[in-house]
Amino acid sequence: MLKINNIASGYGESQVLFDVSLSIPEGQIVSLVGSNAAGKTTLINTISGLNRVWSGSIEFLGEDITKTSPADRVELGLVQTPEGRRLFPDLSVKDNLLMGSYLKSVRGKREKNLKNAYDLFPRLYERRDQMAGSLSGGEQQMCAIARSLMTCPKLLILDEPSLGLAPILIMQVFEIIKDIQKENVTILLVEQNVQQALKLADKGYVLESGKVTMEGTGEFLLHDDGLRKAYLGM
Amino acid sequence: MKLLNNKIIRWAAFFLVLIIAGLVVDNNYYLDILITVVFYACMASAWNIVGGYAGQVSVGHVAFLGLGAYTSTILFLKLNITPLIGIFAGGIMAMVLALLIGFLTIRLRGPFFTLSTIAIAEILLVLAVRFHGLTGGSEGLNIPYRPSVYNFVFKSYFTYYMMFILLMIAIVAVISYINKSRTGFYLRAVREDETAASSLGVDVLRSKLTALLVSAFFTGVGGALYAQYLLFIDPHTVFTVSFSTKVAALSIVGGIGTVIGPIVGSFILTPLEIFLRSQLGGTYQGLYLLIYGVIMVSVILIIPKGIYGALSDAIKRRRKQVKNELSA
Amino acid sequence: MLLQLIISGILLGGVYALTSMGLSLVFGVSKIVNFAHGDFVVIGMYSALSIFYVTGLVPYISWIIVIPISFGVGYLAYQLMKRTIGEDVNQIFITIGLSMIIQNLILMLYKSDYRAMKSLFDSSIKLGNVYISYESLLAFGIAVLVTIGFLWFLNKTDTGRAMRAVSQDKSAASLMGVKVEKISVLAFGLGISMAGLAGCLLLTMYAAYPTAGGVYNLLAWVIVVLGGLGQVGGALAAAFIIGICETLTGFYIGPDFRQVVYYLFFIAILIIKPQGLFSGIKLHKKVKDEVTE
Ligand SMILES: Nc1ncnc2c1ncn2[C@@H]1O[C@H](COP(=O)(O)OP(=O)(O)OP(=O)(O)O)[C@@H](O)[C@H]1O
Ligand SMILES: [Mg+2]
Repeated sequence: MLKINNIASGYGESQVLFDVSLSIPEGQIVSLVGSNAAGKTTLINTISGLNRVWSGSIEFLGEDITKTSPADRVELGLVQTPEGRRLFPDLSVKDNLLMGSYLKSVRGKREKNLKNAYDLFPRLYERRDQMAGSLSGGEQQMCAIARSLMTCPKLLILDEPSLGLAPILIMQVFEIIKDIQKENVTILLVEQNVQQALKLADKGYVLESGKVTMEGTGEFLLHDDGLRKAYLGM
Repeated sequence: MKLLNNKIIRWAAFFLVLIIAGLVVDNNYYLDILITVVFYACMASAWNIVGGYAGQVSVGHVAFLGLGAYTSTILFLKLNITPLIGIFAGGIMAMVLALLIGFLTIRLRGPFFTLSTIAIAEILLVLAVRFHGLTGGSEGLNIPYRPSVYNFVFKSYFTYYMMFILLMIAIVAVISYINKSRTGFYLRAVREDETAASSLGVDVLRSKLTALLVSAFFTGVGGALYAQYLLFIDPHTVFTVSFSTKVAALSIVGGIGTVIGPIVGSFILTPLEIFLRSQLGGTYQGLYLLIYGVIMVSVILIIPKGIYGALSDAIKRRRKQVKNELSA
Repeated sequence: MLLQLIISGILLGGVYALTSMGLSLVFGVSKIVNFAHGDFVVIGMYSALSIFYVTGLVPYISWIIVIPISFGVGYLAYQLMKRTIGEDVNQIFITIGLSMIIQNLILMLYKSDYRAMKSLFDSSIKLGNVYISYESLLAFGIAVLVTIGFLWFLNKTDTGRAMRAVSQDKSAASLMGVKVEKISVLAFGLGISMAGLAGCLLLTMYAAYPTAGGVYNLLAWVIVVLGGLGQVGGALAAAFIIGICETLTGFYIGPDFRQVVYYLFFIAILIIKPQGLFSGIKLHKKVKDEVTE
């Protein structure tokens, strides 16, 4: 579904990503793990078009999107739930969700999607008129995921959805991710929560200092000694 | 050749040429043009200290000019104090105002500092009209034409010309001094990255305030001198914000944040303005300011470093190239 | 007398609100520090004046034409300024340059005379001791109408919501498929349209002259700062305060002091409470389930 071919990217003069290639098959959950500052966020922002590709190319659904604008990528079904939620703090919860269905192509399904979102997260329905900035961390994460689902994603990229959540909430989030996959949404999951992320994943990638150092099935990576030492402390 | 590489000698040569030019023309019409050019070069250079070096854009600088002009003129007309003292009193009054403005507003983020300087200039304009007992109101004040050194009124335009050249030498010298001093270093650091500079212990506010004070002093002195030259001041000439925008435009066009930039700007734009005004007269009121605006917008879009900045960049690049070729 | 002044102030404030909401939009959404905002007000004034000279249409009608003209002017200005977005200093300079261009273009075309519209009405409404001129009432009515329309747009339409989203987080908005650049231009055009409309309405009360933009520019900024940056609701309230402040000082201290008072007010607010007087008030009305129910 998504193919990344040897891309390089970075900020200003400093290069962050070096020759990164990965591919995400349709219908799967792919996890991307790596330590802080490995370049995970940089990579997915490059996929979403917020960062410029220096060299290499990105294909989505067989189409070259290397130079496509971020908005047009969303239109194609490539949707990101950014790190730190990035809700619109001074917009109500409901307005945030409605922003998710901003695109004309999904506006027709707005009512249905909104109902689904509220069904999935009843909490959000209760708080629909509250400013998003005043939600708790967990609620914000739910709102951010719900907002992305409003866009009818084909590929949903989640950047550290478990960040700052209590363990019980983390479990919940991972359950939800599984449910989303069942709705025929392909998922790229960026996580520091290596164990959980790899357990869930059909396929995993390890990114270190801007380079892919390991790839394989989730199961395979979980049993890799080097990875266990580095990320799981075992 | 080596001699010309010395900065001081280059500046001395520059001023010498200016003085000789003043001696050669010996015609009041051309001398007036030279005086105006040098006056605006002074004002633009003074503005540049705070607008360019400190990155605090003031569009109310005319307040300092007006305060300087009114101080020396009122001291002379009401108390018969010689403008020789009055000029410095004017500069000091401008500094006092700058201190007040600085304390109140220098910590404001860019645009809001700019807006408050405009507001202050507008307030002074209204006050100058209102307190006509002191200021002559909107009719303004006339300085009687009685040439003498004590009155600081001269028959010869060349004397005035020399006054403005002296002011310019003083400004250039002070800017060069600041550039080499700690304050200059701080100001450059602040302009590069204010947060980084302040986290490294640079006293950002103090550096900016120093720049504002120095700038205000020279603007005030310039205003007082200009009043002596025109022998007339009124609120709508010495407190009008459009004077400040013009002065800012000269700096931007010449090259902001450099010693030479504002001078270059004035030497190009001021004669152009005088030429246009004399050619067009009243038929196209405002055309020359329109052209100023167009030039200003184009320079910002095309060469944001200004004419001098762009030229010196090009020269540096060329030198590097030559060096590389030589070493290769 | 006091009541009379307060009512006149409110009526005037309604028109000022348009200018400052426009500036708020330009600053908040398009992220442009616009020092030429007042000159766009003046463009509105002279547009209305020219329409009157040519067709005889009065401002109460011609505002419908002035709005698209202003939008067009705004669109062009945006093209000029967009390259400086994010560079405060260059933006200040470029808008000041633009202001010089506009002021002197008008000066060349119309000379420096004060131009005013003759009053259309020779009577005014009397309510008890209070006289209200038809001019200010009509202008106020149109301003209120447009303001309501604008708030509806901002709160209830997708484009309006996108504008609010862009003002809060550009890149998050682009992740929702919002074309940020388009929203930016649109917000700028709308902001300038409101300035133009305000100018058109002001022409029924005040004379136009080429450099009037300086006054209106500061006025708009004063209101925006007073109301809290980027907060349309606050700007609305601040506009009434400034309107009343203007009529009161105009009467009790002298017309030439009108501006002095609110400039002092402005500096005081910047120093004492830079987040504005109404930092609590937000621009959203609660949207009552317009989709689900
Ligand atoms: N906007 C930016 N400008 C400059 N450098 C940046 C920017 N964003 C990130 N970087 C740098 O790029 C590198 C990779 O950062 P990135 O955010 O991609 O890491 P990450 O893997 O997502 O880390 P984390 O797990 O902490 O989120 C870091 O060294 C960071 O400092
Ligand atoms: Mg990250």
